[in-house]
Parts: sequence; structure tokens; C-alpha cells
Amino acid sequence: MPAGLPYFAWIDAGETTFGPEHLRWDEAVFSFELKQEEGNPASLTASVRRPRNVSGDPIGLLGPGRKIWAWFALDCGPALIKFRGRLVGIPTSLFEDLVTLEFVARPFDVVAQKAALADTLRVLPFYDEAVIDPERRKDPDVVLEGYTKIWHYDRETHVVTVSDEITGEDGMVEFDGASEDGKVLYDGLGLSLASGPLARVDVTAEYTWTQQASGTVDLTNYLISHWPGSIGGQIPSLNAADWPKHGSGLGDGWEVAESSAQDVFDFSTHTETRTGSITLEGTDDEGDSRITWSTSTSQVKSSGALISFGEIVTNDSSNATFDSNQSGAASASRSRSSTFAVVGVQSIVATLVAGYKAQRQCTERVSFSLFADVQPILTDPEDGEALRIEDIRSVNLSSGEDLAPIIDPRRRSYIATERGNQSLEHLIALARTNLMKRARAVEITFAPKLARMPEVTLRKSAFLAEPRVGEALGKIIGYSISLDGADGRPNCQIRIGCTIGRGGLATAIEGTPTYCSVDYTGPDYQQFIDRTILVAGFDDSSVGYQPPDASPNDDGIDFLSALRAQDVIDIDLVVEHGPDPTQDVPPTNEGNSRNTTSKETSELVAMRSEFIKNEILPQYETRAKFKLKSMTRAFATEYEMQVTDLKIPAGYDLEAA
Amino acid sequence: MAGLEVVVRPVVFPDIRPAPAQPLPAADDPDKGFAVIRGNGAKHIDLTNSYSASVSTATQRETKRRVDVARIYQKKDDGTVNKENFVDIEVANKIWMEGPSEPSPDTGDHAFDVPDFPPGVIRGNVEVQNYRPIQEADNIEIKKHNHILRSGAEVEAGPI
Repeated sequence: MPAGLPYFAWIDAGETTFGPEHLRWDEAVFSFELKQEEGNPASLTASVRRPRNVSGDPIGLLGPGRKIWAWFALDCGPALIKFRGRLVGIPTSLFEDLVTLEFVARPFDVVAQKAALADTLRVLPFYDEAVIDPERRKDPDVVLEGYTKIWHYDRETHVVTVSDEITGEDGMVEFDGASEDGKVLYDGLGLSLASGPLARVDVTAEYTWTQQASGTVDLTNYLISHWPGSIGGQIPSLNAADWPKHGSGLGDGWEVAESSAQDVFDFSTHTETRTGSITLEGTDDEGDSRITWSTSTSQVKSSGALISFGEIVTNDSSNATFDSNQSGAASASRSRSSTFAVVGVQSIVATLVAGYKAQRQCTERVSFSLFADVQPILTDPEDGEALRIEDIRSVNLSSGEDLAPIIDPRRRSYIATERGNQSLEHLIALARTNLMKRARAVEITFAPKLARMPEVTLRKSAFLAEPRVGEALGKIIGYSISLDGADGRPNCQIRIGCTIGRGGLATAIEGTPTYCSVDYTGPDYQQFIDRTILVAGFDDSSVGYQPPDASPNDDGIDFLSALRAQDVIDIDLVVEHGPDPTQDVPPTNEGNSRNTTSKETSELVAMRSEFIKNEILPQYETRAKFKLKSMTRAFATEYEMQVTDLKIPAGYDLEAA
Repeated sequence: MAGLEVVVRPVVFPDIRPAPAQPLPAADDPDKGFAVIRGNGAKHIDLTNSYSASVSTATQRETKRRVDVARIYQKKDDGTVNKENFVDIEVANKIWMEGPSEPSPDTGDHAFDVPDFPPGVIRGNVEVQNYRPIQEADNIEIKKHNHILRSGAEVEAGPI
């Protein structure tokens, strides 16, 4: 068959493989245009003679039972360029002799194919679900955010794939300008600048998690060692009842896990009463003498830590009776009562174990600028367009899933972890994607010979050597082939997008290990100074970065280690007591009890009680304060990451053009 | 003349990002979150002491006695009784003594045992002592029985 002959066959939907039986002319094609643009399915516009039945009457194209699928093929000489599509829309010019049919090579199961393909693309660093709203994770289009790829629809098989926008994965179509088939037509050559390239991308991202931990810290030794006046492990001026009880609060996120307290001294009193009598038998003249006595003494059981405030005699009386009436009886007696006031100052032996339950919102904000190593389009290389990506924020990295990104919610830093580094690489991937796509600033259109068109797909790159444009290497981003029956000349066109980078590779730098030689522990064990690593997920060595070391701007608590008191004390223990007495000790009637009236004695006792109550006891009021680091507060740490310039392929040299 | 300005534009992504986290709370309030232990280990204690002692001396005095009056005749060496020669005597068979009151019972704690009083020494305010009455004999003649004598006065005798 001669080159340039088109075939058109109406088919069933199941005829997915082109065979010789499809080399037929179900319709008389007067003209057609087959084209495909990057990201879209191929389409065919064909003008055919209005179909008629054997009687010569017009056939309704949209009638029930008619086939809507078609194979189209064009003989290009060495091979056929083929298209399988289905009729879409309403044919135009239905009542003219020529009707125009629109076909599209769009699979009917495009949603399912995209979904299945997207499942394979959800890999780090290109896709990081930590920064994707859970409601949008099923969206297949979201998955391409970090890739320099775009959906591709095969025009024959309708298989959906993704194709890189910089370099075609199915090889290259060469137009070297030297061989017969490598030459392009003089007409149809064009070059345009699609847009200015991005000079840089400024990225800001926020990673948030709830730092969670629980445990206990024994504060006993800390409190004893910091308590003023503590001797021998005893805490002065407190009663056991004053000590915090189990479950009582100790600060934000803190409560008493275990505690015990015992009074050192027993200030209970007991009274000892002694009575006695003795009878002395007298002589015949003197009779018997009977002596009786009684003492009652109150005492405090513990003798230590008592401060005495003197004795007040409340009664001191004596009586004597003589035998003046010769009754034979004589007596004498004395009675004395007094009251002592003492103040006992208690001490306790205590323990205190604090329990914590941390729920602390931690945020790490990472920012960096990725510069594109591109040829300047504008006169001043410093002038350029920058892009800000600043709305990136994570889900709560420590909640929800079994394998939350933070893995261990006790951690102080996320981005310094292996998983965190992958999140950083995802940010780089986002910036890289934008810079790469925008670096494809030059579009070249040219007209190849018909014989080369069967090679062309949107999954390939094309190399063009042409005296007017020089050499260009770019991704095929569109093609078309058309033929009009009016002149019978096929028109072929290919459009390629060329990046205007300078080429080259980013260089990894081992850096200086801070702990030991790399040979000893491997490269992932320790921190490095001035270390640059390449993003492993990119196979083009286009960019590297310095993984930031963890430097959390928090209160220093490391929940991964056993916590000691000094780790959790925010403000040290301060113990305050009440004011010193402002009055002198009140008087007693010691040595003058016989001259003190009962009323005066009562007043003295009352004065002493008031003095002790108002002046002495307050000075032993104890108020101990300390502050434990909050288990509910929030922390935010800023990181500025260093990245290399992004190396971009040199698809076209504008400076040489 | 300044160069061309850097054009900065924000990227517009579809709404694919998670909702913002809760806004960070204000910085930790330095005046809050303290653990406070309050108390007062001092305690006012009143102690009382009392002491009393007494000494009493009591001498018992006879208030009355009951006597038997008897006449004692001479008894000669040969055993005969000479009725002409006799003496009359009063022989006490009961004496009332008055002395100091008995002490009130002890109610306090005893640091040691209080010794019992010997019987008959003090039994209340009045003590009565009985003696063996005189017995008649061939030279003894009882003239009066149970004659009461008060201190300082003599009263009539009871029936013999």
C-alpha cells in the first residue's frame, strides 16, 4: 500500500489489538488530524463522507446499535501509525455530504487505571502522606505533586502510565540533520519561550506532633538536699499531714505518684499523777501524824524540738490549823498549780515520687531556598521569578496510625530521624519539580518526515540537529499528523520542550564525623559537619542537602532516657517561712506568784497564748515552691536547611543560539 | 535605575494539606505551674503541773467509859475473906475514844502502794474499845454493872 493511505474500521470495544482485518475502509476519510498533547489522550478528527445504506439513504451515525469504536491507521511507509478511539460528542455537519467525527483514545477505565498506578507511586520522597490531608490521599492526581511526571495515555492500548516531563523513558527519536530520515522539513520550524524559568523556590514546611510520654521521677533526694535546715534527711517545720498526697497535682502534667511522710516527734502529752500518804505513829502524848501528797505533771512524749515560754503559777496556797481548842488535831497543807507553754516544731521524714504524663505539641519549621542552575533568559541573572511554597504542614505525626511517622512519640525531633529526612527530601522533590518543569522554557516545533511518525510517542525524547536552531534535546510534548484530501499532503509536526539548565551533577560531600570514623559505625550513626548527601530517590544526582542536626528549641527533657530530678526541675526549690516575732516574750509571774491575783494570772495566760498564736506560730509557717517543667506546653523549632543548587539538564543552549 | 524586580508568587496547590494544628498556646506562664507545699510544723502545747501536800497530827481523847464497880475484900493467908477490909474499884469494860477523821479515799494514780492502816488504830471519828468485864470471886463483889462515866462527869450505872 502506498504511504499516506488512511484506514478506518468501526470495531467492537473488545478489539483492542490491531490486525490485518482492520486494514479496511469502513468510511471514506476525506481528511483527518491525529494529535496528542502532553497529559491528554490522543484524539482523531476525521471528515468522512456521510454514511449511506445500500439503498443510498443516509445512515444515522448516532443510531442505536451502531459501533462507536474505531481503529484508524495511516501508512507512513515503513510502518503504520495507529489510533484506537471511541466516538465522542455529536458529529458535526450531520446533514452535509462530509461529516466530522471526533474520536478520543481515552480508556473507559481511566479512573481505575489511575488509582492503581497511583498506588505504586506513593513512595518517598516523591510522595509524603504526612503532609497530605487524609481525605485527599486517595486522589490519584495528588500523587504526582512531587514527581516531574505527567499522565500518559497510550493511543493504541489505552494503558495509562506516567511519563517524565524532562526525559522520555521510552528512548529518544533522533533527527540528526544528516541522514535522509534525520532531516526535518524547512517549513514548520519554530522556537518559542514558553515562560521564564523559576530562579528559586522558597519552601517552608511545618511538622507537628504531640510528644507523649509518661513515667515517674523520684524527687526525694532533690527536695531533702535543697530544703534549708534539713538535717539527717529530715524536713523541718512541716507535719506529715502537710506533705503532698498521692494523686495531688504538682504542676502542668505532673501529679504525685508515690509519697510518704512520718512525723519525727510525738507531741502528744501525757499526765503523770502521783499520790501517797504515810502515817507516823506518835508517842502517847503526841498522837499519830498523817502525811499525804499528790502531784500531777503533764509532759510531752518527745522531748526534742520544744521551745519553752516559761511558767505561770495559777495557784499557790497553804493552810495551817493548830490544836487551839485541845481537840487533839493539827494540820498543815500546801497546794500549787502552774501552767507551762511550749511550742513543738515538727519535722518529717518524707518521700515524694512525681509522675508525669506528657502531651506536648512540638513543631519543627523547616525552610530552605532551592536555586535553579539555569541559563539566564533575562539580561540580569539576578532577575528571576521565585516561587513560594509555604503552606506545607503535616498531620499530627504521632497519632492515628499504628506506624505514625514519628514512630516513637517521645522524640524531641522529627526531621533529624531517618523518616524525617525523607520528609525533607520530599520538600526538595516539591521544589525540584517546580524548578524542573519551569526550566523547560524552550519549545521547539519542527516538521519531520512522515516515515518517522510511527516512532513518535509522548513517552520519548527527541534530539534535533538543525542548522537554524543548532542542537536541541527535549521531551516530546506534542505531535500531530494531518492530511487533507484537498491537497493530499500529509502534515507532520512534533513539539519538544527543552530545559535550559547547564547540566552537571550535584556533588556529595562526606563531611566530618563528630563521633568516630565512618568505617567504624557506618554513615548513618552519627552527626556530621558540612556533610552533603544526594537525594537517593532522584536518579539524576540533581540536588543534595545537608541533613539538619536535631537542635530542638525545647526545655531539654529527653524522654528516651530515664529522667532524674535535675532533668525536670524548671525553677529550683524555694522555702519561705513566716515573719519573725515583733514582740518580746510576754511576762510570767515566776518568782512572784504569791502576789498575783487570780485575774492577773488569767490575763497572763491569755497574753501568752495570744503571743504564741500571733507571733510564734506564724514564723514557722512554711511555703515551699518549686516548678517542674511543663508537660503540656508547646515548642517550636526553626530549621534553615542548606541545599545545593539544582542541576538541570542542558536541553538547549540559549547562550549559543 | 534599579534592575528588574524579583517576582515572587506563592504557589497555589489544590487543597491537599492537613488542617492547621491548634494554635500554639502562649508561652509558659512563669507564675503558674508551681508545686507548692504549705504547712506549719509548730504546735502550741499547754502543760500543767500541780502539787499538794498535807500533814495532820491527831491525838485520841477519851469521851466516856463504861465501868463495872466492884468491891475487893481482903483475903487472908489462910484463904479466908475478911469482910471488914475492902476497897471499891471501877473496872472499865468499854471506852469511847474520839480522834481525827478518817482520810478520804484515794482517787489518783498510785505510784506506789498505799499501806493499809493497822486495825484498831483509827476507825472513823469515834473508836470504841471493849475490855473483858471483871469477874466475881469469893473476895470480889460487883456492886454496879455498866456504869457510864463521861469525861468530866459521872452518870448513872446501868442495871447489874
